[in-house]
Amino acid sequence: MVKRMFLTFALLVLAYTAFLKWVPITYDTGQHLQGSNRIKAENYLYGEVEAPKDVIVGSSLAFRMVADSLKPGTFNLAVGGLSLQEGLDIIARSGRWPKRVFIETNILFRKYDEGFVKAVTNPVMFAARTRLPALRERNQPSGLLFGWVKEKAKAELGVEQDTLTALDGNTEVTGKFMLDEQLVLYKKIPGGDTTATHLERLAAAVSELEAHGAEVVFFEMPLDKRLMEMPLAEASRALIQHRFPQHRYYQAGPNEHYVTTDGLHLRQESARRWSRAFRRALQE
Amino acid sequence: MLFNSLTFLYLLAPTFLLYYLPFMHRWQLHLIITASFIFYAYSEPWLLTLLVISICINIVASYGAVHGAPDRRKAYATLGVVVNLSILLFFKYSPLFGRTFFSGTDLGSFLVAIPLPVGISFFTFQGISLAVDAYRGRDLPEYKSIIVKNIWQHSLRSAAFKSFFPQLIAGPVVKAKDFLPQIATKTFARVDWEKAIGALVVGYFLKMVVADNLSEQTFWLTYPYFKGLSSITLIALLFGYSMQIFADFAGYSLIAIGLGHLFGYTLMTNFNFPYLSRSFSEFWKRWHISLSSFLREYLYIPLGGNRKGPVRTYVNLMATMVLGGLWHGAAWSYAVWGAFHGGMLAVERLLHDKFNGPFKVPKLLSTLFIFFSVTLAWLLFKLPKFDDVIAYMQALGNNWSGADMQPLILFFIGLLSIPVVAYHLFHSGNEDRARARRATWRPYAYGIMLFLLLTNSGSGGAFIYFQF
Repeated sequence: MVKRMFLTFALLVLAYTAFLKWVPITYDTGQHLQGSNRIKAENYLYGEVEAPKDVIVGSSLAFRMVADSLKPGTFNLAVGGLSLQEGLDIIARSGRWPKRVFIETNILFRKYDEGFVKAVTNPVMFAARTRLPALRERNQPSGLLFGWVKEKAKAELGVEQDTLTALDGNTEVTGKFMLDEQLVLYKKIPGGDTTATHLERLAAAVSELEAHGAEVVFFEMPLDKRLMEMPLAEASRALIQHRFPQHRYYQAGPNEHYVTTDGLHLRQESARRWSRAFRRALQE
Repeated sequence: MLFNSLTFLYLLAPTFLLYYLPFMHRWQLHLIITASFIFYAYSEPWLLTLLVISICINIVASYGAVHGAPDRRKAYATLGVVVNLSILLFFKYSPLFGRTFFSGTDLGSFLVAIPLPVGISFFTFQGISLAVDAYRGRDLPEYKSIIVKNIWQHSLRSAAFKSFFPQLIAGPVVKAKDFLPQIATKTFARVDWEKAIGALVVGYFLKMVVADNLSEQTFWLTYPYFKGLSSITLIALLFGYSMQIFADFAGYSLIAIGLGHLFGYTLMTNFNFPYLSRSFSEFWKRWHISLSSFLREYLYIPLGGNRKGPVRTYVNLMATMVLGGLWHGAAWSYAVWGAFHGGMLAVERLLHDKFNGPFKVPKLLSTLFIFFSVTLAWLLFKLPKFDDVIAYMQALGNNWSGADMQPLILFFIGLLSIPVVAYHLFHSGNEDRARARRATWRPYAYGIMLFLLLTNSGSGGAFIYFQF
C-alpha cells in the first residue's frame, strides 16, 4: 500500500509540475484574503526580474488600489487584514530594494503578524518553493479551479469581477454594519507604549530602506468623511507627520470625494479614481 | 508546538531516530518524556511547571492508591481526583467566575487574568483516570502490574503516560488502564507502518487541506461580519463550520494516533464517522469517543447511570452533558451546548422507554435530522457570546433577499466539504463492501491526499480543540 501511495503521489507531482510549466496561468488565483496576501508576498520574493521601482505597502485599504491606474510596474504589496509592517519586513527579508516605497499609514497600530512573515520567508520553504513552483500559493489547485470558473463566469455570463470576488467581504450590505463598528473604534487612540513601539519599528524600517537607497513617501487612503475627522485618524496623521517631518505625506484634497463600502475600503470606481490621483501626484 | 509546523518535524525526526537505536532501548521512556516536555514548553516554558506538578501529584496519588497503607488508599485516590479537579477549576474556570460573580472588583480582575494552560483539560482528565483506575484495580493482579512497586519506574511510566506528546494537548483522552500496559521496549521492526502512515496522511489532510482552508471562509462567521450576509451564505457558513470542526479535530486525533503508532503505542479511535449518526446517543458513540467514554465511565455511571429509574437517568444525562459542555470552555454558551445535547439524549431515552425500543424513523431522515441539529448547535462553539448567536439567528431569518450572496464563500465551502462528505459516504452502507472498496482505493486516495497536502494546504492555524 505504501509503495502505491508514494507512486501515485510522485506521478501527480510530476504531472502538475509539467502542467504549470507548459500552461500559463494568467488569471487571479486568490481564494481568500490571507491567500491573496501570501500570493503577493511570494510574487515579490520570487520575482525573477529585478526589484520593482515603486512598491506600495499598507493594509487592505491600499490593497484596493487599482494596478492599471498606477504607474506601470508598481508593485502593490499592501496586505489585507495586516498592515504596513509586514510589507516592509518582506522587502527587507527579500533583499530586493525598490527605488521608492509608498507607505499607507491609515492602519498604523495593528498587531504585527510575525507568523505571516515567517511563513512566507521561512528559509526551508523558500528553497523548496524556488525549486518547485507547485508549492507556491498562487499555484494551489483549488485556486486555479476557482480562478478558471471565475473567468468562465465573467466571459459567458457577463458577471462583474467584484460580485464574484469580495476578498475582504466588505460589500455594500456588510459594509453598512462595519461602518457602525468603525465609528466606535475610531474614537479610541492606543496607549503611549503601543504607539511608541509601532513608530520605533516603522522608523527602523524606514532607515533601512533609505540606507539601501530607497525614497520613502507616506500617504493616507481616503476614508468615509466622518472617520477622517475622528481621534484615531487625526492622531495617526499627527504622529507620522511629527515623527517623519522631512518625508512627503500625501492625502486626498478637501474637495476630492470618494465613496467607501464600509467607511474604510473604497468602492471600485473610487479606488480607480484615487489610484489615478495618486499616480499623478506621486509617480509622475 | 503545532503538529503542522516545521518546528515539530525538527523535534519528531531526531526523537524517532534516537528512540529505536538499540542502545536507547532502556532510555525510551526518558526520551519520550524529554521530547514531550520540549513539545509542551516550546511556546510558554513556564507552563511546564504546572504539568510537572500535576504529574508529581498523580504519581503519589496513584502509587498510594495501590501500594499505600490499606486504610489510606481511598484517601490517596480521592486526593488525586480532588487535586486534578482543583487545578482544572482554578485555571480554566476562574475567569468565568470572575466575569460572572466578581465583575468590577479586584478579585474579579485577578480571576479574569488567570491564563489558560494549553491542554489542561486533557492532562487533568488523564490524571483523574490514573488515580481512579489505580484505586479501582488495587486488588486485581493485572492492576498491580500497571502501578509497579518500584517508585522510580512508576514515576517514569506515569510521567510518560501523562505527557506523551502525541496526545498531550488535545487528546484523545487516554485512560491509564489502556496506556500503561502498553509500556514495554519498542523495536523498529514492529512499527505498523500502514496504520501509522494512513492515520498521518488522512489526519494531516483533514487538518491542513480541509480545515485550514475552510477556516479562511468560516472566518466570516464572526460578529459583525455575518450581519450583512444572505441567509443562503449564512447556512453555507454554518455547514462549512460543521465540516471544519470535524476535519480539524478528527484530523488532530488521527495525527495523534499515527504518531502513537510510530512510537509503538495504540491510542483509541476518537472519531467514527459521526455525521452518519441516526441518533444523539449514536453521535456520542462516534464523536470524540475518548471524551464521551471517559464521561460515561467516570461521571455518568458513578452518578447512577440508568440504574436508578427514568427520572434520575434523564437528570444524569443532563448533568453529564452540561459538565461535558463546560469542559470544552469556560463560557456559559458551552454549558447551553451541553444542555442541548443532554436534553436531546434525555428525549431520545424517553421515546425509547415509551415505545419500548428505538423510535422508528427512515434512515436518511434521522441522519439528516441529527446532522442539522448538531450543526446548528456548533454555532455556540463558534460564537460564545449569546448576543452574537441571537444576531446570527436574526440575520439568518431576515436576510433572504437584498443581502450579500458571496459566491466565493459558497464555492469554497462546497469544494472543501467534498472530502468530508466523501469520507463519510465511503464508510456508509454495507460494511463488507465498504471495507473492500476502501482496500482497493486506499493507496490511490492517500497518494492524492499527499499531493494536495503538498500543493493545497491552508495557512497552518492552531487546532480548534487547543482552546479546550
